[in-house]
Amino acid sequence: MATKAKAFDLKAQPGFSAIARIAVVSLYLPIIILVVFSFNATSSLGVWGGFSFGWFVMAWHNDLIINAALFSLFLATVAGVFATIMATMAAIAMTRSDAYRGQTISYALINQPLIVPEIVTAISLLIVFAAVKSATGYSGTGYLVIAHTAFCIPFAYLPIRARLEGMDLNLETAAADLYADPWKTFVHVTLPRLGPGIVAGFMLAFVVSLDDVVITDLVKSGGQETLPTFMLGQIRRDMTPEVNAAATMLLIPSILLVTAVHLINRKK
Amino acid sequence: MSIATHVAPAADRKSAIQTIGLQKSYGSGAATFLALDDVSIDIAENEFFTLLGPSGCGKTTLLRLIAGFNFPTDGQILLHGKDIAPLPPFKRPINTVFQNYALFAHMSVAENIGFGMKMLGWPKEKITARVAEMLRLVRMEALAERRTSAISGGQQQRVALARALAPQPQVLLLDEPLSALDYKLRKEMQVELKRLQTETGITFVFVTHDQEEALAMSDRIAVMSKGKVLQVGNPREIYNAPVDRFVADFIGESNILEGRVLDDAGPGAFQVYVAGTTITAYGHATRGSAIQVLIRPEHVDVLDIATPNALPAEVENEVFVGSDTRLGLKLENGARFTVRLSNSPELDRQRTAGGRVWLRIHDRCARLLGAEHV
Amino acid sequence: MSSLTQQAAAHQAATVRRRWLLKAPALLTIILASVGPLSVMLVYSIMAKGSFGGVNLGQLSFDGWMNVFVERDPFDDTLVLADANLLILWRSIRLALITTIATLLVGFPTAYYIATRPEHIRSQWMLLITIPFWTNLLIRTFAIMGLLSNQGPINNFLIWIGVIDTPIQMLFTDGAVLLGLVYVYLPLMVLPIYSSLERMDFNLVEAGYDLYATRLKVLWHIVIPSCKPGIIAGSILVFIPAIGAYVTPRVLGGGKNMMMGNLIELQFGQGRNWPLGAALSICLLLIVTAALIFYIRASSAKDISHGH
Repeated sequence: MATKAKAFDLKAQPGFSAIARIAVVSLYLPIIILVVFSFNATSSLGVWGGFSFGWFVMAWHNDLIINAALFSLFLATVAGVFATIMATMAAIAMTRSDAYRGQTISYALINQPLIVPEIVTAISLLIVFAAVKSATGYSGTGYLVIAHTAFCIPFAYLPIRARLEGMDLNLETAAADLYADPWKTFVHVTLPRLGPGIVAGFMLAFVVSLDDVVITDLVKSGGQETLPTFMLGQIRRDMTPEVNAAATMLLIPSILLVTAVHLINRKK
Repeated sequence: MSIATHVAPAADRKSAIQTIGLQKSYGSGAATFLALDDVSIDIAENEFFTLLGPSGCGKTTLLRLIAGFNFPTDGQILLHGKDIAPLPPFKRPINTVFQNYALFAHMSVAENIGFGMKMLGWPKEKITARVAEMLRLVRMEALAERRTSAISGGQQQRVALARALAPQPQVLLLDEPLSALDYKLRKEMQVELKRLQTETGITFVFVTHDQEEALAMSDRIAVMSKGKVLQVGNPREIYNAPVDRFVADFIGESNILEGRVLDDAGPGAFQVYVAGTTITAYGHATRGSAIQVLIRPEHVDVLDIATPNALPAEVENEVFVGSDTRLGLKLENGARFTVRLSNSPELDRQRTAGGRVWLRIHDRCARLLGAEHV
Repeated sequence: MSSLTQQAAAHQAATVRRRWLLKAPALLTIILASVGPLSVMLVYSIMAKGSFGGVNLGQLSFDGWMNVFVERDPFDDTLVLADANLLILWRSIRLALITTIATLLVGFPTAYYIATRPEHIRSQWMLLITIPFWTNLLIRTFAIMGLLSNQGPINNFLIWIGVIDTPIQMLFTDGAVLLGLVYVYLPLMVLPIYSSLERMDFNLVEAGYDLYATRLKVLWHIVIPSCKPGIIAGSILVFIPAIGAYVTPRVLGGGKNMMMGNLIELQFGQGRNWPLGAALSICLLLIVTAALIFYIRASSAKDISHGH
């Protein structure tokens, strides 16, 4: 007769657990299906026809895809490095000081690329860069590098600033007390303590650059296709799992880097 | 029991740190906050000198000015007679032990200790030897290669000390270095610090708000309040002859009675009328003036019969605290009075509330206080 | 002592100089590749239209701004409402608002559930939420496209079990765009709500139950008010990119279910009406700015009420 008395769970809310589970599954299911069909033996994107690496082999031999992938990596690396260096310098200048003139405007500027819709930035860049291109005749990768660097800066800035704010000011005071001039203090104390923040900042900048499609698509000149712009160009055509294979290849570095950032932050 | 006379500086005494009219203010206009107000102190070589006061009294500000972390608004800081105001902290032969230790978490214990010498450009072998010596001095040889996050609070404290002492500073500044430790460890470190100071012969400037710590460790103490130095003296002077009510209250337990000076009673002694009785108190006063008299709780005998010059009182409560018994009493004029009696099994006896007793003050133990600083 | 004051002033000046030198590269890059071009856009919006795209610089005209709302009838030259533009403007606002509400309805329970897990499990759940956020937006939109297409798994499955004979047209509808937006921006709602729930004091919930509140009342009167800043932040974080979305409507909406982003692009491409495109861009920017101002107001009002 006696029913087991169940303790009243203070934190539970009816249905929330189901919603959370469904939400997370829904976040992954479409991506998983996309990845699964990149291994499809037939050219269908909806009917499973057996397992095959064929589309990966095909993508691997498609110079358009490989060149686009290599250019994506190149661009993400260069823009990531520039953005990280600039963001580190800016974060050091802007954190841990009393309020100063120009603080708000600097902060707004740094974060400005986060706020403006990408398409608006992309088109305004298109207009300006087109004018510069016809004036100078230069149509190299410089335009993409500067555009990517600009929108990567706020992402690189975020973890670096967080790390700086969490840092004990006394450490630098202690270094100065122990005969380190400002430069030595920076090299021996600030930079090493900042390390994980800088690594996380670079990784985020790298991922953001790798993901960009709108700005790249409008700013690029001939021969500057990245993997996302290549994929966007495929929409109107008959899509085959080859695009899925390319997408799967692009997913891997992003997921690895984000997991790495997560682990770095947790260790802190 | 006699009050120690002021220890005059010896003729060969050399000053390590001297501040002259030091002033530090924050903000401006009506919102100006005066953190240090005309502070002039003179700290001798090889001295264990303590800055004592409640939080916000300016003691840490003074320490930071000496270290060079902040600029004074006015005044001078001399190191061995030379003005060090233009020197940034990394050019001052003065090191600091920080309240939270500020150890570099990305370096090992040994690297932390060697940091200052590395920055000074000492040769490698010399650094290695000195680090080993310091590790021995603070008894941390076994943990040299540990990360500073992997050692206990007490050990971190030792590393911070070793790190600051290693480059052989002329003055060591300690900013409440023991406040993060538990009671027992704090007692141990007090002895340890004193030993290090004697062994190294370096001038220590120690900041604390703990009066017991200050009394136990210091050669001399400067008591500070609201940016001012109220009194400088050795622990006995500070305890036995505080200059004013603030110092008397802040250091140790005290009974402070309002009274009136009746007459002279020899050099430095006066007949004072307090709480319905005339007693003899010592200090400076003018005849007829209203005055405050300090009586420490342990400087009183409790008698059961009326005695001349003893203060009549009524027992309110009695608290047994192990080594001592505290008696809470009420004097004739209604003022509260505390007495501390040493316990011993044969003398132990309980008193009932409401009982009548007479308080006889030990010879020369009633002290006249000067005008109160506000 | 004036030498001391001078010394302090020199030190201060050096600090200021160093600060600006350190900030300069980042700020200049952003000005060069973002703020500067946006200003050009602002100027273009008040210039006359060039015949083959572009603008006639120096020839001031408010046609661009006017064309946002009205257009000249090609036959009798009268002004009529620019239906197409206004429809797209309305669709953008409507889709962005519905997206915000839908992500909130799903995101809040999700964030709450995660925030009430034991600590080590929480961080794993949050990693699961974070990974899609940092995953290529185009790929995620592609994934939804694959799912919804006529040859996709859903239609194939429905035909296979015999519910339908011919594929349902799901792609290139407003519904597809909406689903894509919700899918893509859901993590942006969960993250801030989670972080404010994580800081919540669950003793408040205990106190609520102790004082006879039911689960629903605890949720409504205690949990939701105390994570309001997170809810506001999440809503803004979703609304802003949703109203400016370009890739998602382009991929899932096809040519006809445009949002503002696509309309803007159209003016600089086939439309060849740069001043109109620039004016539309500035409109979009103004909507975003208004949302941000609302956010700043809302969060600082909260600070004041909790100030003491």
